[in-house]
Amino acid sequence: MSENNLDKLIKEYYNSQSLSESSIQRILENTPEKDNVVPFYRATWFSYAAAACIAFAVVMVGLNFMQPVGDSQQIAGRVVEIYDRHLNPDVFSSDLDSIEQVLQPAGFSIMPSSMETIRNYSVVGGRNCGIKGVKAVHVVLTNTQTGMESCLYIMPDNEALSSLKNKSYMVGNQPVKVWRDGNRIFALYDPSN
Amino acid sequence: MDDNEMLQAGFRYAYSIAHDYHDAEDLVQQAWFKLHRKYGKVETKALLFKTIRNLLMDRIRRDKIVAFEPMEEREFDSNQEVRASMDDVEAILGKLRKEEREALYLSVVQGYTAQEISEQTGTPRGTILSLIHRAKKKLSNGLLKEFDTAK
Repeated sequence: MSENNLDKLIKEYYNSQSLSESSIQRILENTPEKDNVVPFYRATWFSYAAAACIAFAVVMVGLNFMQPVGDSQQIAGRVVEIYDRHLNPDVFSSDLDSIEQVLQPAGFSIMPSSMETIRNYSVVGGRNCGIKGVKAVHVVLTNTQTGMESCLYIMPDNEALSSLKNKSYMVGNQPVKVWRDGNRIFALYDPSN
Repeated sequence: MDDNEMLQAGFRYAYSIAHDYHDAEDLVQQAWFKLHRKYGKVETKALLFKTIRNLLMDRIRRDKIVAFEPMEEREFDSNQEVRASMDDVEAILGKLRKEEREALYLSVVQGYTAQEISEQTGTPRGTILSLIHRAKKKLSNGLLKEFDTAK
């Protein structure tokens, strides 16, 4: 069969194949309108969600750099603040017992159960003070090795101070060592530490 | 080209590949709707053909349709004229590979060059030429065989 005849046959065959009039009518009648689809990245909800995610990320990063400021941290900060004022003691004595006798703190003793915790310090004197509405005693110490003035805070343990734990709280880059001893809480700040 | 002619052209192209009326009707309808949803109209025949082709390829991938095996080839006398019926043509075309039918239709019926078919289908030009040649040879051989049987 010649090429031309073959081509003619193929054309004839395909041209005889046609979509029925009813099918064409049905397709044309059901042809949908153009979708006005907004790309997801231009949708309003997407902008809000993106903004919320960015804000959340900024807050999370910010929080990561901020130290938590709770009651415990406030108390440790207060200890350092008092130290920085270098307030004079009400009572000058190298003996805690004598200081206690003069200041007569209500309901608690300023004597630690073990002197081991302050064995590197000599006592200069003491004064009455308060923290978070709780009456406390501020004892001025001197580090016997460095000669630096230090401060010991003694507070009766109560609900207002319940958040304090036995640990060192950082105020800036300075540690304030806090520990419980019986019904009292001791806080020691030594800038040479 | 109006909508009616465009739909008929799309249908014949779909039919050339699918070789089934209902599949071709489905394909042209899907492609027509898809283009209208996206652009609001069917701008060119080439775009309609491309959409039909993509839909068919998706369907083949999904259904894992196995391609037809090529027909047995045999020598034939090219001078012998054969008056073939449309049924014979349909039967033989049905045995061709869909790629062969597609290339044959685009070349013979639509009058596209091998280069244009190559661009349209993403198949190398050499492959298109070979597909058209093989399709025509198989069609001739098939028709000759039918003629011999009829004698």
